[in-house]
Amino acid sequence: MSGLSEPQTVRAPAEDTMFGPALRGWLAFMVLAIGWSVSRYYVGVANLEANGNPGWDTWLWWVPEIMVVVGILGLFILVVSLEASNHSRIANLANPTPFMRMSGEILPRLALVTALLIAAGLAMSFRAPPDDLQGQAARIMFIHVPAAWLSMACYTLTAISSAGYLIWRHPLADVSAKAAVPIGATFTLLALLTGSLWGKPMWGAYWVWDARLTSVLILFFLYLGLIALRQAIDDPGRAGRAAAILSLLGAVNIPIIKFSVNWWNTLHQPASVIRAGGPTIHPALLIPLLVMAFAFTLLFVALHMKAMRAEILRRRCEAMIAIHVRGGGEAANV
Amino acid sequence: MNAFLALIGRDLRLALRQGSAVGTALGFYLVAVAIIPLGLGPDLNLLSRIAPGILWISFLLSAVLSVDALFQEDRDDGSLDALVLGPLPAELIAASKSIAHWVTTCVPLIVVTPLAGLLLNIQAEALPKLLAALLAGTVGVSFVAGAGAALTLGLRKGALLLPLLILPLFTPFLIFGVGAMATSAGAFEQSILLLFALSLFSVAAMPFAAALALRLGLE
Repeated sequence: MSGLSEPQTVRAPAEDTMFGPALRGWLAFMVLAIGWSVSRYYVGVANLEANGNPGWDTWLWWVPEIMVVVGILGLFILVVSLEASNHSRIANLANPTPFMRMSGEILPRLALVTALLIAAGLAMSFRAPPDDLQGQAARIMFIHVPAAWLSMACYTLTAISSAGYLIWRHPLADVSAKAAVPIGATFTLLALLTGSLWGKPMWGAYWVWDARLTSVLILFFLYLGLIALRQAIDDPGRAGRAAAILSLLGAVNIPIIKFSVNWWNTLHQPASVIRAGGPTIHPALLIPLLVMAFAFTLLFVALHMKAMRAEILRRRCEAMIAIHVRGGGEAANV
Repeated sequence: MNAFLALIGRDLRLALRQGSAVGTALGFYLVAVAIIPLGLGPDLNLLSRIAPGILWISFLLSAVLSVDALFQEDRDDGSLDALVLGPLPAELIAASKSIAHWVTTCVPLIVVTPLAGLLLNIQAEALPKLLAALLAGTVGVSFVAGAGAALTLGLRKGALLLPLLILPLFTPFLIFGVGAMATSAGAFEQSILLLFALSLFSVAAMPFAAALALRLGLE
């Protein structure tokens, strides 16, 4: 073949290769693994009821633990390899171009580690023994508690990024704040939804006006306000600064709101993992919870990084369109 | 200091001579209070039990809906630009606006609160407590609302956006304001002190947020 008549190949942009065959294969494997763990779990419960023994093969029992160890090792290797490469200093991350390059390298590996840990965490959550008092319903805690932690962590990150943007006017800080808000709102909604699903069998109602539920609901409204304020302003720079002011206003008020709502009503169980005198939760439930919390944190980091990349690309597109409109035909080279 | 006082005096004179903004806020407050029994039924015992909550909520809504007019008119005729360019720092401009809002809106609303309470069959011993709580808390309400108004200045759908942004921040005022009516020993003193604390905090902190937003809005 001469090759001249071949149609010119159009290369997919680098962004698309991130969800390439490897990750798709991995996702399929993860779905199978979760399905397998769930089915094994139910077989085990049936066996346990029939002859007092779950009847699991011993080495299969330890698969999630092996996955956690592999995941953490992978994360460790990721961090070490970044430290070793020459363009990886944190200060470089403040510049969009090195950020795009670095996050492009990190993100696929981070996504793999996250998928591994979430798969392991879900398998461990299904494998954990049912709670003495709450039975199977307590299992929703493994989603609910990490989501609730992250709903607050996301707001903290938004507020820190906003302060950075207001003080140093650094565009990447604004990108970070903008990217974190919808993710935080989603985690908050997830915490509220899983909480009310848990509340129906436990408290007898999907929603009660308990202090913690109320303050998380108010946090959700603060997120909605941030999104609405950004949408109401066309100019991205002004929208970013207005949202930054509002998120700092919210950050100052959140402790006060939390205090006032606690004063108002308390029904939710008090904090049981991080408290003086050690956790009050049994290790059999605590370890899956911690694995899930770690996996969700990685998930947040990966989603945030991806959203920041998308936002940077969007701004570059807008800048290119602006140049094109202003510069007429010549700007086609840009 | 003179410029600061002159600015407050100007806003007060404007409110006094126009009169419409104050009247509208008062009318809104009374209608909001009067429409609630229509939805709940005319049971006087129920109404007297929930009267403080209804009055506080109607008060907060009136305060939020009246506050954006404060900056809006000055922005439309350009006098806000002149003020920000002038010698007075934007923080003090924002503070003077909030003080003017408190004097021209919150004080008249507090004055008609006994009348509105009458409509809801409020208990006679609860009324002085409610008025004290309103006096202590609404200064802070005006300052928080001022910061919100500066933030949504001149935006599309700003009137709808402002309550969404500001009402969540009013939660502590509402909780302690209604908490002051509780019958348990010491609840009143505790709530009043906390309301004062909230107001002092808002007076100290909100003008800075409002000034940032004002400078941003006028760019």
